Amino acid sequence: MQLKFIVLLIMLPLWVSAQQKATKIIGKIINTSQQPIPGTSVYFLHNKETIIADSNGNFSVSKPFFPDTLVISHVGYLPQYLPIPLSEAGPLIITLSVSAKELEEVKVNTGYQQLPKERATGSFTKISNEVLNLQSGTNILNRLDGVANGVLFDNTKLPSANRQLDFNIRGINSINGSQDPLIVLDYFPYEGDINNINPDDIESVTILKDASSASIWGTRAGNGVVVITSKKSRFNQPVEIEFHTDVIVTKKPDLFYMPQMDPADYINVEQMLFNNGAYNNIINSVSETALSPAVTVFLNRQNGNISPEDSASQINALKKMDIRNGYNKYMYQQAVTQQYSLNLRGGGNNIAWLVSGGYNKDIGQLGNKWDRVNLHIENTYRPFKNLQLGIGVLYTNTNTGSGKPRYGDISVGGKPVPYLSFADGNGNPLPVDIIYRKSYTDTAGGGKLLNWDYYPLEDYKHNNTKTYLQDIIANIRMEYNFTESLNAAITYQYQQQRNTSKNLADEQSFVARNMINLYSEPDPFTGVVNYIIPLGGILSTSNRIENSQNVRGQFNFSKTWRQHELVAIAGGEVRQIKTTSDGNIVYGYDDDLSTSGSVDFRNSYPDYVTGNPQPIPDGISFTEKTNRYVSTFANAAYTYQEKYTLSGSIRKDASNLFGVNTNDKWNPFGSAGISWNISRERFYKITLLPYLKLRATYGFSGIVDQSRSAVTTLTYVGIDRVTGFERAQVSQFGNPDLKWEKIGTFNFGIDFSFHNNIISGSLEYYRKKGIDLFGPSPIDYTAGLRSNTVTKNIANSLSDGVDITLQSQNISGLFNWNTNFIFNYNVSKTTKYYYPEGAIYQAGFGQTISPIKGRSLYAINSYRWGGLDPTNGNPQGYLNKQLSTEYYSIFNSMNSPDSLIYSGSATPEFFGAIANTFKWKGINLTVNITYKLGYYFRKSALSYDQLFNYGIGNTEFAKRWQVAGDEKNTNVPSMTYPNISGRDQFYLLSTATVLKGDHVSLQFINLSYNLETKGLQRLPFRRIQVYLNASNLGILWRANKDGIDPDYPASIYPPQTFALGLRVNF
Amino acid sequence: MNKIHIIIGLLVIACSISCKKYLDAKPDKSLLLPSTIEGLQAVLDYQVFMNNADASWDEASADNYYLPQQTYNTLLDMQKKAYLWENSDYTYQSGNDWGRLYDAVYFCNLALENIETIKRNELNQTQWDNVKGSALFFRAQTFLHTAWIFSKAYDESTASEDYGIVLRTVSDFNAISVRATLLDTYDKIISDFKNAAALLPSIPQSATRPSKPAAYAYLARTYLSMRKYDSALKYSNLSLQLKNDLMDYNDPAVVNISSATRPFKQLNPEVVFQKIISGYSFSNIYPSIERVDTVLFNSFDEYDLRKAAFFAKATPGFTFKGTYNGNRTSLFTGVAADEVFLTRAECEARLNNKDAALNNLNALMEKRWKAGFFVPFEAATAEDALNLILKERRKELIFRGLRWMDIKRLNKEGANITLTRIMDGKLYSLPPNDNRYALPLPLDIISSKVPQNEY
Repeated sequence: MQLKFIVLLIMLPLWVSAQQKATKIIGKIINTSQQPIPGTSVYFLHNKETIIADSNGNFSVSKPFFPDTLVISHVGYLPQYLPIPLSEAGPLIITLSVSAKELEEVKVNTGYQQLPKERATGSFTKISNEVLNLQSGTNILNRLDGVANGVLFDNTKLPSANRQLDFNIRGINSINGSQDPLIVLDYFPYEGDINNINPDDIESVTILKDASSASIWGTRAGNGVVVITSKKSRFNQPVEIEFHTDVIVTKKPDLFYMPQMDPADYINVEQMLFNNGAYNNIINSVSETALSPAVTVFLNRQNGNISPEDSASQINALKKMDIRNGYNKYMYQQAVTQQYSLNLRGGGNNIAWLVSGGYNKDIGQLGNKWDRVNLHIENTYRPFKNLQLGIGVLYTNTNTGSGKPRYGDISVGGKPVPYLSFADGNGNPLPVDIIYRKSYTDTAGGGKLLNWDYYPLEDYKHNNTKTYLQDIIANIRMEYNFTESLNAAITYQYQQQRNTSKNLADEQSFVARNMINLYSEPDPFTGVVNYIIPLGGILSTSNRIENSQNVRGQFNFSKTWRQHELVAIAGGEVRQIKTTSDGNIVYGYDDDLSTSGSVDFRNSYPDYVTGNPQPIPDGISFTEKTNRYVSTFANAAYTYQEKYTLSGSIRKDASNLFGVNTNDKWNPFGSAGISWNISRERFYKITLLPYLKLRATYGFSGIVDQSRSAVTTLTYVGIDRVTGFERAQVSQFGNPDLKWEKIGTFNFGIDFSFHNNIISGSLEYYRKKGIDLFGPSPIDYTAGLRSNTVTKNIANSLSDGVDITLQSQNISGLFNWNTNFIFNYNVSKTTKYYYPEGAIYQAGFGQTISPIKGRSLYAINSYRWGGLDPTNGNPQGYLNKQLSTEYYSIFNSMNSPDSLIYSGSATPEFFGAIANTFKWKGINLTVNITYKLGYYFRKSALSYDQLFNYGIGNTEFAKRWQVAGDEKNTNVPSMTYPNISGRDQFYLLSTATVLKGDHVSLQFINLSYNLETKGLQRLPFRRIQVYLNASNLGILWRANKDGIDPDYPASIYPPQTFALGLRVNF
Repeated sequence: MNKIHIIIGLLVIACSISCKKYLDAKPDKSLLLPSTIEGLQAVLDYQVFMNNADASWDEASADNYYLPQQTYNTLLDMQKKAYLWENSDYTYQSGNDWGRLYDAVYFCNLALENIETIKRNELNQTQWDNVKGSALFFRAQTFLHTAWIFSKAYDESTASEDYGIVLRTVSDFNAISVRATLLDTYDKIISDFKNAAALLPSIPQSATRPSKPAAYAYLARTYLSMRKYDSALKYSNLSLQLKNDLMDYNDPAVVNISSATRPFKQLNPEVVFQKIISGYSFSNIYPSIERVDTVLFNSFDEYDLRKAAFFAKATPGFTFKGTYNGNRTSLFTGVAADEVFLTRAECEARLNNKDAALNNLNALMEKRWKAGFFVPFEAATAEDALNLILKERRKELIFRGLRWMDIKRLNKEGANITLTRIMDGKLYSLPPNDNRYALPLPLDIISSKVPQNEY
């Protein structure tokens, strides 16, 4: 109250004196290079009058009322607020500086309408073309990394049907449903492969982050929306030609980063297991399973086939090998990507046109080839007044080929043996026993069968997969203006993505030879082989066609009268996505003649090795899926005096959920917002901070998980080949108690810019409340649902977050230094969890929602680590507060929420980026550093169970406890045989394997030289840019001392890439 | 403006009419509701859950096999404990036999609940009866196996007190489980089988589907395990009247004795009802991991073709290859006619019909012995005949999921069978009628309504 009073007191004299008269005022508006800026608008803040400067940048006003504040604005320039005192007489010289980010004029594209950011109440991040071009590569979305506020790239979560993209906007909201943001291209959700889009066709990307986005886009927008806007042309635009090309080189991956066990250690373990008879089952098995080279030596020695000396020297030779050397030498290479694109656009009075084409060619790290052709046409006609017609076509053709085997592909009898070699000393290819042992395959069939060896260096030449993808998007738009303020638009879009994948394993491939041998029946007397599978190659084909159709009808209303402005849209849309796929396998295929053999798919034939009768795989599959959506939507924004904006939106979505009544198919969404441009108030006098806007939104959404329903449904699984019966299984267990997931989001934001834009940016706070979230709830599995959990409404969650963007101009002038700072804070907690009394809590990796109230939604919970037992190196935990090695009792004692140790969040609580840009003449240098702080991860650790039974070792083995005293330096348990699985499980999920994830990385460096040729008429182009780009440059600082990249704890981190490019505008 | 109102109005009306239809399209062509006979039959025909997922804990606890120390060392903790009858505290983890058995019960209850909503008429009665009969059959069959594993041997004098199993008869997963008495358990099993028998066809389209002879054979099994020999006799008779094919092991067209991997064919003529273990909770008994009990192996006569047909040399010892499933990896635990012959023989002997008992035994044994070397079995008394029959039952039905129940019921008859294992230099034994013959329920199932067995 007091503040208001003071403000009033200050304003009172101004108000009184404002009634006095001045005679005339004149002025001129120029830019920093002293050139006049014609057409600039001069707005009198108090008198609410606008005048436009003439072609020389001059303006004059007679009989103005002073004092007042002039707001001088022009596209591409920072607006200036100029308070004019009572006695001002002029003439005024007003200098406008070019806006780096064009902050004031930013229009955000929601996919439904273009919204001036200034009047928006919601939360939007816009990534301009310039920023998108700071990174190179063929995938547009990857360019958001490190530059988009609120966006977290996270590779540690496993990809799944619900998680196909590797980033999230403002954390993960849905536990069971899709975690991916909705991707929109221009008008409609993009259903194709994101790699189809040519980044050179894209003008900008807008990210919709708060509840207003969910209420605009509905069901699938709960995780935020990414609106990709393609380049467009305008009416009356001179012809512009843009050419872009670059070459990107990606280094070989660092295989030695992988926590692979030392080959000598590995062989010693194999020796120990062999001596203990652990391989007897495999050695004696009828499957003739392949044995590792070392085990083969041990066996030969045991059977007396080789001398002790030979055995020792062979083993020593094996211990010196490392499979990674073979991969590095023979499989991996530097990847090279070439990109070319050409974009032409122009426009006349009644036509605006754009044609562009792109070609990308890539040879991957494994010699795998990929190429892409893009074609983009975008035309808008105005056949007569009030009618506008538009057509757009985007065409993509992609060919993908398979390459050499990647690290981890080649294993022996399913075990990733770390010491294989692919070639002898002279580089001649060597075979590797991947399925069967050589001693068997060499003698099986007495020479009547085909050669049964697999050569890693040869086989990929005979077994390759080619994928052909064609994607076409065509849209037609019609817009008719009924009146000045009302128009109606109908947009129709058709998208077809056709994907054909052909795997041809030719006659010489291992796959074909193996299949033929397995189904061979050599006659023991005559030696004649009866081939159940004809000789020749095997061709597996699969086709997938995805058709989507969208129609949207929309009324747009926009009217300004006196101090009021109302903008509203309302409409409806219908969309259908139909996916059909089929596949089959052809045997005896001859690629030269395109002929194939015939095969009996009905009967079973004995497997040559085991004798088990097996039907021949036919690979036949057919699916047809149809998803339909119907939506109605409306939203409106009312602005008063350009200061106050009220907005609201509602939407209802329905889809063809199976087995649900139509009424239950509708999901409602709603949001309301308010904004206040406080700097336009009369009392606002802070000249240091000429632009200040406050805004807030609240919205809710209700989500029905598409895969859950109240009724039990079945799905056919195909005909049984033996009995001929149709078979079905339960695809969904009906759950009538299921309620909607409800998420309410509040967003509060401040947009500001300091004088002359020295610092500008926005600060946003948001709070998301999730109620009745779906999650796995333990059930009495006597119910027979093939699981001990069922999806129920189990949890409530609360997320608090802050998104800050700051742009500062540190130095300006000839030398320019700008800093762009992105700071994100996001903490999501479980606030309620319905867990049955006495249920056992399990430690985990933070990949699933944590059921413990008050802890992070994705928390790293662990068993308390009690160190290694000094006498035997056993991992110790705590049972009833005493050190214990009763692992199962420890697990079962976790029956209260606080019995597990909480390390912290598994997702970064703080993250963001700092980009510094330096400009000197035409040279621009941008250095982008990203950071992720405040979280934990579990390192990849040693499991003896995995090692003994599946041959999966870990580099940690070298650090295991071996003698008393080691427990002081290591947490890696001693090796015992036989192994107790509980012992492994305890160690893996204890606090001993948790590390702090905090790290800072150098995301990219971009160096460019720009030449504007305005004065140089002799040159045929207007602008030329040459750039160098380096990305994935590595970690600058990390909290863990083990040298682990927390983004890639157990997989190969992306290697550094370097790009050299050229961009020319004519 | 009026025009616009009309357009909007028309759009709203058009949408609300067509929306419903538009949204009723199936999202996936392969989806259906369990409201048709065909759909329910297709569920019951899905062998993965109905026929192929039998439990293995009982066989892993029985004495048909032993494990060499080195093999034992490679097993998972739960499997090791099963070998030594030491399991006590285990939970779901990635699944256990309790869950595995009740998974099949769910499908039965789903079918039984939904078939009642479909009107039975002249056109659909055959299919309708088959669905209902099959569901009752599968459920009773699963309940019976569950009781054999998790409850004590049936004893008339204590059955009304002894713990039975959870008789789950609804598909609603919120229903609370209650552990029934053993008496109620067997009553339910018998009545379900009897109702099933009345509905099922005499000749099934495939032995993967339940049938009258299968239901009768299971009733004989049930009564045998209850030691009600007159009823067991009655139902083995009924079963054999409908299905009594025996394979002559001398006939190479039927049995390929010398085959190292699959001497018998899948769904061979002897199979009355197909049930197998594929995907073992206890890989102890996975053929090639187990070793056949030495004494048992040696008890096979030289001219007994079963010796060559059933066993393969391994190091050390011998391993089982004689599964009626026609491969080497899945044990057959369904019903074949040989079992019914042996059950009938045993019942006849116990009811003092020596000659009938021997006739049944010899009818079967004739097909097992090398042609020309078979000397029909003879016995002085019914008791001698019984001993012969039990000896042959032990050999014929090895690894058929019957031995655990046989030990339990025979010890009740005073057979005094003590199981022993030697591991890590230590002797483990399981004396007759020990409480551990009722294997423990999972910890996460135990509640006030589902008490644990007493140990």
